[in-house]
Amino acid sequence: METTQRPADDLLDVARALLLLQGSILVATTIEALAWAIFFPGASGSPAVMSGAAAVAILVGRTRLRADRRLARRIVFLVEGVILLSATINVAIELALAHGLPPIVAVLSQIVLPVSAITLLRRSTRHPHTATTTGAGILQGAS
Amino acid sequence: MNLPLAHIGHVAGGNPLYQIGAEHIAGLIALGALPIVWWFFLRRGVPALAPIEWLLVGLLGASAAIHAGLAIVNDHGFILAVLFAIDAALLAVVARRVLRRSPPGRLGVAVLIGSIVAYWGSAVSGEAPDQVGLATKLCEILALVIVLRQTVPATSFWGAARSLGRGLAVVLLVVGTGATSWVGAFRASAAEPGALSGHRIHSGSVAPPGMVMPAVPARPATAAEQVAADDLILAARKALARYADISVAAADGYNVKGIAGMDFHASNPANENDGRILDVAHPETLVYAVAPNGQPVLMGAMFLMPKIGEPGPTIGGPLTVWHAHQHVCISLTPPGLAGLLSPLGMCPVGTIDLALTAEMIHIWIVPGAPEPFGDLDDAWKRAYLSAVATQR
Repeated sequence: METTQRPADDLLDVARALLLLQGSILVATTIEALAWAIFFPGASGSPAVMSGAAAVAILVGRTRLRADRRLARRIVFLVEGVILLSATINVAIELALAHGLPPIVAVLSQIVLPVSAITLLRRSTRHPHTATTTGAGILQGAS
Repeated sequence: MNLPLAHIGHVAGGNPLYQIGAEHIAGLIALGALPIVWWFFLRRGVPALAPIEWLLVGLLGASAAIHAGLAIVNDHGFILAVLFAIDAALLAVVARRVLRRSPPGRLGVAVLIGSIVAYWGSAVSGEAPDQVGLATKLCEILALVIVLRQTVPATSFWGAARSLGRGLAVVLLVVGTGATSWVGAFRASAAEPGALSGHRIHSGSVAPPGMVMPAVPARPATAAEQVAADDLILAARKALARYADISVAAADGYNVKGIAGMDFHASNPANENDGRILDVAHPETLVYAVAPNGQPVLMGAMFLMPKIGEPGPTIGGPLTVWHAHQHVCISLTPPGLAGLLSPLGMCPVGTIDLALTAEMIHIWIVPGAPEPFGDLDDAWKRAYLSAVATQR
């Protein structure tokens, strides 16, 4: 694997991979919320709508990530912020009620993925000469 | 993290979906030993890799270590142990390729997809998924995302189409992993028919996802326990009869607005904080079902313990088993149930994960209920409601 990209592109590559995984998890969560809303009387459809919107924002946002595109970053930051806020509440509830930490996968999905994505995106903007010539395609493979 | 199949106090019967299976501890130990192997390897020199390649090596190495640990301990039978060993070896080979700056190639794609799909098969066949297995699959899917990534921007139509196809494949793999995990979790819990509907979970039984049940000794009720349980039902029928009229229930503070379906729980917040325990005259929740003629029918009541972790009084021994719920997603917009924590680790956006509820028990006052303190079968409820509608 010949690595010719600049540091910012390297970090964006990792961020895109993480965001594809997170967007896919949000798609699965949306389907589960829809199923619940359909089969459970009295359940609200708004969680499915919000999860679906978050999935679209992450999946579209990741394809448009570039050092010079602020809007895509801000959208990703917004969704990650909402997920992290929920995660904070969830950890507090878990500690208070079950006297433990959330399950491993919940920690990965709700904390590790968002924190990593935010960190990578922030670091990629700090490089003074961020490349805009590589990784510019809207659809960049699976990453 | 959750300890292996452990919950607070006496409540010990949750579904493995949210826990670490004891048979997977070996995988975690092997993962813990990975840095030592890593240190030996890096003594020869650190290869110059891009960050994403380091991440790929880490993910492949972690999955290989976990599979190697499972193979060594051999808790899943000889054939699975051999398959784990082969998987571990192949994952390690792919990781070595990346460390040598060679592309993972088709071998990398085949090994990762094979490992993920094999997990689906295991779940669908009734092996209860747990946190170690699910975390490993998420690592493998992320590794696959990196292996499949396109290093050169897609400029042609077909290039863009291939790129989109790869992205969709990843989404399908994630959705498939979540769906098969649900199937596995429910199938594992249905392995002992009758035990679940009666809420009689014995040692070795598996509760359905989202439910926590204390282990109950596998013995019949004593004569005294049977009498106490029968008396409780009779007392509940007498005390709750007045709530067949929903206007009476509403006047007493029960939230009966919008009764729908066959399992409508009308709660009374005042009764939840009154300090009374299993008081048949003041249940925390009434349960209604709507008959085919549109008439709401009082099916029973649900009693709630005041504090989380406090065991309910099992006055009927194995007949009156209390249960709790775990990892319930609660919607904030508007307030209400929104599902269970996904095997992929998330509640829907805009909801919070209620880790554990207080213990509760249902008492079904309808005549002939097959499990007066357990779950009422939907088919039985439909037949009963049809009969009620016909009589009226």
